[in-house]
Amino acid sequence: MATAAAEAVAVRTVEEREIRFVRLWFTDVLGMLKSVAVTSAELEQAFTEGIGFDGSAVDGFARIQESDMLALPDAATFQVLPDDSGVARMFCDIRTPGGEPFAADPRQVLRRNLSRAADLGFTCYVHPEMEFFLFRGANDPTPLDQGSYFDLTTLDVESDFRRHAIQQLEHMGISVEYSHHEVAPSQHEIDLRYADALTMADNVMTYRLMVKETAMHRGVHATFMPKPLADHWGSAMHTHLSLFEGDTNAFFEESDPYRMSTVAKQFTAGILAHAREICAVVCQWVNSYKRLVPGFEAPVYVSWGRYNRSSLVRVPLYKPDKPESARIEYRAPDPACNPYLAFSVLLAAGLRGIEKRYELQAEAEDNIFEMTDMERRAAGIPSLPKNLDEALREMEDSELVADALGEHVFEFFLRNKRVEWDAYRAQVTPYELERYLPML
Amino acid sequence: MSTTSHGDAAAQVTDAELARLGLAGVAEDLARLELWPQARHGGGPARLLRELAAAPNAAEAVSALARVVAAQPEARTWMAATPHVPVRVATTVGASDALADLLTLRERLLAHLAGDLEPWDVATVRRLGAAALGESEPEQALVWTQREGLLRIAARDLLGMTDTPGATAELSDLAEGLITAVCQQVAGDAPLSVIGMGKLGARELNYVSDVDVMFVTADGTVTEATRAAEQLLRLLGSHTAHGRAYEVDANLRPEGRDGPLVRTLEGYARYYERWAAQWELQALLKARPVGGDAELGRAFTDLIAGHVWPDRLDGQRVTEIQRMKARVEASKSVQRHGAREVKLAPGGLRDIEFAVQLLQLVHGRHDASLRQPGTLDALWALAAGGYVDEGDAALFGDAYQFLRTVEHRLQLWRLRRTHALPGDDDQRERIARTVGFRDLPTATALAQFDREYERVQSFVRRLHEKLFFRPLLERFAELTRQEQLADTEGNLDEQAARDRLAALGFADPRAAIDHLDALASGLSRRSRLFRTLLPALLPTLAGSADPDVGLAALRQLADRLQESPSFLRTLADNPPVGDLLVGVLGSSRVVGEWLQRQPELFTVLADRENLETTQSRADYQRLADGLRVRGDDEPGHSSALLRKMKRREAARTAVRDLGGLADVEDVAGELTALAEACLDAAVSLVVPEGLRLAVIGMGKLGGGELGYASDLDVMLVHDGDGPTAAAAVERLLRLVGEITPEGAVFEVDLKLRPEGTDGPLTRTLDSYRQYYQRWAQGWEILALTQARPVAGDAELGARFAELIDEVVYADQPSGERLDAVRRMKARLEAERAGDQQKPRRTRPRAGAAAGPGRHGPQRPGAAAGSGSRSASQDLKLGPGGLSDVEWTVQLLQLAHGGQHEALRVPGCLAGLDAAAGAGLLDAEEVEWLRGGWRVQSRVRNVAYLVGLRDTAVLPTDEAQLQRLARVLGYPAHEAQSFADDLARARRRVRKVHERHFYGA
Repeated sequence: MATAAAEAVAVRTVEEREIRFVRLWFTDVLGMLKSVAVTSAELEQAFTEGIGFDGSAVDGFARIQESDMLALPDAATFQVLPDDSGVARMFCDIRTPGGEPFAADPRQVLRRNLSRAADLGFTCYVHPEMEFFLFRGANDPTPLDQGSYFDLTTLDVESDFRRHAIQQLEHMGISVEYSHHEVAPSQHEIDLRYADALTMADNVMTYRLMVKETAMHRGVHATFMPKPLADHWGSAMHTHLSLFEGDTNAFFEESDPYRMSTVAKQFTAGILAHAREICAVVCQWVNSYKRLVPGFEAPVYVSWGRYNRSSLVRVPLYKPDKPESARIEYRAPDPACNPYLAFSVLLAAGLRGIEKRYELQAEAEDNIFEMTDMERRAAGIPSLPKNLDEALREMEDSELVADALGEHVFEFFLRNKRVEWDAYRAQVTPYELERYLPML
Repeated sequence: MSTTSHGDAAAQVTDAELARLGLAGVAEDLARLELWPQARHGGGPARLLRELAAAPNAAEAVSALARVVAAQPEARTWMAATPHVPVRVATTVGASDALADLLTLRERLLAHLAGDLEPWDVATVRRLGAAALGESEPEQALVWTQREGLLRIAARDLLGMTDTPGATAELSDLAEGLITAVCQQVAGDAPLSVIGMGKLGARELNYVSDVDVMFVTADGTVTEATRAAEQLLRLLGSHTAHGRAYEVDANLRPEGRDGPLVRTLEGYARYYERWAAQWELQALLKARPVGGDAELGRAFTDLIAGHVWPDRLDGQRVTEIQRMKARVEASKSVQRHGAREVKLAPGGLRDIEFAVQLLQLVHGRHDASLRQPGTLDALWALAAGGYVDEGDAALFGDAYQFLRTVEHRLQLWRLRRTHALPGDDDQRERIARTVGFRDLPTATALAQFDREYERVQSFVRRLHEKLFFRPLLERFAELTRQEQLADTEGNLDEQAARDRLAALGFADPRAAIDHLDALASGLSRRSRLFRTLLPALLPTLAGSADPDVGLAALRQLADRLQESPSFLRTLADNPPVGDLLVGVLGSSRVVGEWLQRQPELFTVLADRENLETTQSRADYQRLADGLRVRGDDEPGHSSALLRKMKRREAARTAVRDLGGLADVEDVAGELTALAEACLDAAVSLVVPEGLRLAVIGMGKLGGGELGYASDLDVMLVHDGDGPTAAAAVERLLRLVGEITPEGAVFEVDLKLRPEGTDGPLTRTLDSYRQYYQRWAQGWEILALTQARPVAGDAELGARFAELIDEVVYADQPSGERLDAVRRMKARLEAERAGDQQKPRRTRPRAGAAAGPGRHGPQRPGAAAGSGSRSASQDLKLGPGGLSDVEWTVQLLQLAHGGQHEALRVPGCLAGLDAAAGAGLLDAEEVEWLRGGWRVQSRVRNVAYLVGLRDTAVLPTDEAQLQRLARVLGYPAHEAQSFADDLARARRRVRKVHERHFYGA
């Protein structure tokens, strides 16, 4: 019902605002935004019949059966793009020619996991803190400044940049929680206000595009590459998660010393127990693992804590007067992940913890970075995978991830990432040249 | 003292009578009512006591009455003066604990039961509602007015002053009156019309129902009207100390809770024209104005009439209707579980409502008389129009009323929205009594009620047959086609029949009508029979994987068998046979074709007992021996008999398979035993005096795991003159493998013998020994793990088996030999992977270990469309395919069979069990391999039966994949779940394979 009305709104808006094109967006398995443009005249047909395209041209969409696919716009996501362009966008669900939701469409993957959560009575809310860098160009990683965290004295172009990017986002109906300059030079963070997981995954896709376009208009380059500068902090996408039952936050428990409910503890335990096997999905690039090293407040070990900023899961202090804000913060993902798949595996791991009643290990009180390997081993604190290869090996053996992603996506993802790793392995890096050429 | 005891004996109530009346347990309550022991003396108390005893649940009723009277001392005055009042009260409160509570709370309520109890019409309620709105706490006052009305209706209902449909109408009037009153109060200057939807719109409200509404206003007053509507919702829906008047739900409006609460006529028109989903239009079927601006309401009614019934039944609408049908059927599949759910259980209220709505949607476009909001009215209209049988309509109407009555009594007890009968016998007995059942000498009220409830449910479960299909066949009754076309009265016309068949799942309704016409038109015995049978058969057919093909096959079969008296008689006398038949025809083209060619196979389906037993080797052997004796003097005759037997028994197994009577292991076991018996019979037909010949099964035959498409891998061993033996083997191959109209007995493959196609067809035991000891390669030894004597000379076979033990298991195999096996497998995989675009070449000899891989026999009608053969779709040789399971198990057998004698068993599943027993695989690994083997073997079997040409590769054609998934038991449009399950099984197999075969 809401659909039909939203379609009405879309068509009306297209007429009233003289929209010439509507971009139909969807996301491939690797998290790249794909777009098919239709003219305003084709819009109604798009709603009723969908727009056909060749699935074999999209990463992860190729099937043995017919490669034709249909993109069915989700009218609830209709937005006019900013800048008076006369262009609007909608996210699409992908269908097979027979009309079944296509199992490998990342949106469908997330929907499937959300419906599992719904079966347990939960809705999932997500709030990501997305970081990115501004550089002089795509081939020139020179920072625009030497500013740092909450630094308000940085160059005008950058605060102006953030202001403009936020305007663009708000124009697209995406609420921004706050924004600031990050620790590394030229690094920024814009936090989106929490939303349900599917909306948020759509928002993340929009966000990445808006930020990149805003940068382009200003002649600079925005990147979500996880670790562009070896000596500085990388870009993370710390992801705050909570489960609600109706209007009640299921993570909050007044009487608990941590104010964490059993649900919150089991969910956290699930995420920790499966942290190694889901890592390849939340940190999916070779470069992602350059970020997960000691020394930059990035998580390296599988642990949780309330204060420790290097923990994999941080539990922010719950304010007793704001039970609805109870949540956990998962710190491994980087902003170059596929948000649909990342949220899917996080949810699956957390729900597994609830279903199987996992016990939450003790909070890591000491700074685990100062422990020796043996001390960590004695404390039962594993490391996150050290590179993509290790992460893929973990994932390969994971029934949980296979189940969360579906066999099609699981198989494609592993195959594709295996190729990426093999290509990387064959590289000779400047580091090696610099170090070995003179010496050996 | 003595005077009283000599009073009017008949009027006195004795202790014994009190007990008989079932009131002994409530003597104290009677005492409080001053009826006991007073009734011992006869007179008024005795009369009243007897009248009370007639109430349903008399004891509970008396207790409740005592409770009410105790709380309302004034009520005591009525006790003696107006004895009908306490009876009314008792009858009402005996059926409703909640009303008893209300009566104790509020004396005014009691006064209603003392009055005339005439039904309140809408105007009366409106007046009372308006008065309530004038009070200081209008929400509370409205609640009381509503409860007063409800009490009156409940009393009328329970006292038999109205029936269930009447009560639902009165309950709807009560809601309408209150809505009208509130609407008048809140509307102000803004015109506002309230549209009743759902049960309110249909005048079918329950005692406890949501009240569904929408709001309409005029141009320019939306803001004011919205305020008014919100106020209306608040007044009627606010919680007070005594609950709320109604749970008012405005979410059926366009866009649901996201949409504006109030729209203009124009707004609704725009929405329904362009955006409304099928179900929203369908909901409008029940819309009617229930309050506020009458003119606006009328305008709305006119507006929607055009939208509910479009001129054309487009594809989307048909899909939507089929989805509704699927929902009806899904509830059908919920077995007896939850039968106590009056509304949703299979055979419950929802089934009737859906069926009626479905028929309205299908036929209401052309026939305005069907556009009735109420379920019963619609049902009568359908009957009057000839869309359903009149008798059936009356019976379904009765069933619907019975179930609604039960639902009402359930809800009345606590005024809760419940639809489930209590499991507790005592509580259910109370319902039984309030529905009207009484203890009889032969059966208690509860027993009668339970029986009736079950009878109604099982009757309603047949609604597909009765409401959907029977009328389709009625039209053929004693009419020619021409007459049908001319006939407009009382029978479905051609268009209506087509619409209905399309809605029920036939892709080509025109052809379906032709088939039905051929089967059921006319006066012959056959057509009369099919007119009776088809309504029951068509639901099964419509739910099968391919209804169109199934119906065509049924028609052809009937044509072929029209002279066969047993065919018609069996169908007539044994309805489950027909059901099984159409189920098989709708899923398997192949069995359909077998039946066309060999109609006597039909007898196989008719023998239920036989279908339910798993046949053993001995059973088949007996059959084969019998044939041999009959055809002894004429070998050609024998071989024909053998072929027929093979075809019949394979068909039997296929029917068991499709009918869910045999799992994949049963199927493999039967097909293997059948093959063995046929081979054995053939051997004894060809072997001359003085020659001994044994057949050694290899591959799937040796493993006892044949599928429908498997050929028989064998080797032959003889003892006697060589040329004589070779000649006998040639005769054997001809006899078994000859292609005739009935097909070959089996396809026999000797390629696994030493030296392959270059080697002699048969050898002596010594020759085998020499070969294996000196020349055999690793894969040949591996293949021997599956070797097993299956037919012919038993003693010679046993000696061959000893040889196998010696060759395969005597020495620990060298690492070299095992590596050679691994390399061979790796090479096969590489070839398979590089094989994607090319047509598959003939099986490499080393496929031995994995069994035969030839395509099934070419069949007419088998659809093409194999396209590219991706390894990932190859059930046999692709990664995680059957050969991964087989090679893994066989390698374990080869490597460890020396130490573990239990491992020396042919067969993949048996080998797996043995490997688990020997601790070579853990439980999960065994489960994964077994699961992978079972699911892929089953897919191959079903692919063969469905009629796919190549059973080794999943079809690339979407429609074929869908059909395959349906027959495998997946719901319609779930081919991707099937693909996902299969991919999971294969991934897991591959993981174990890499771990244990390659030692990853």
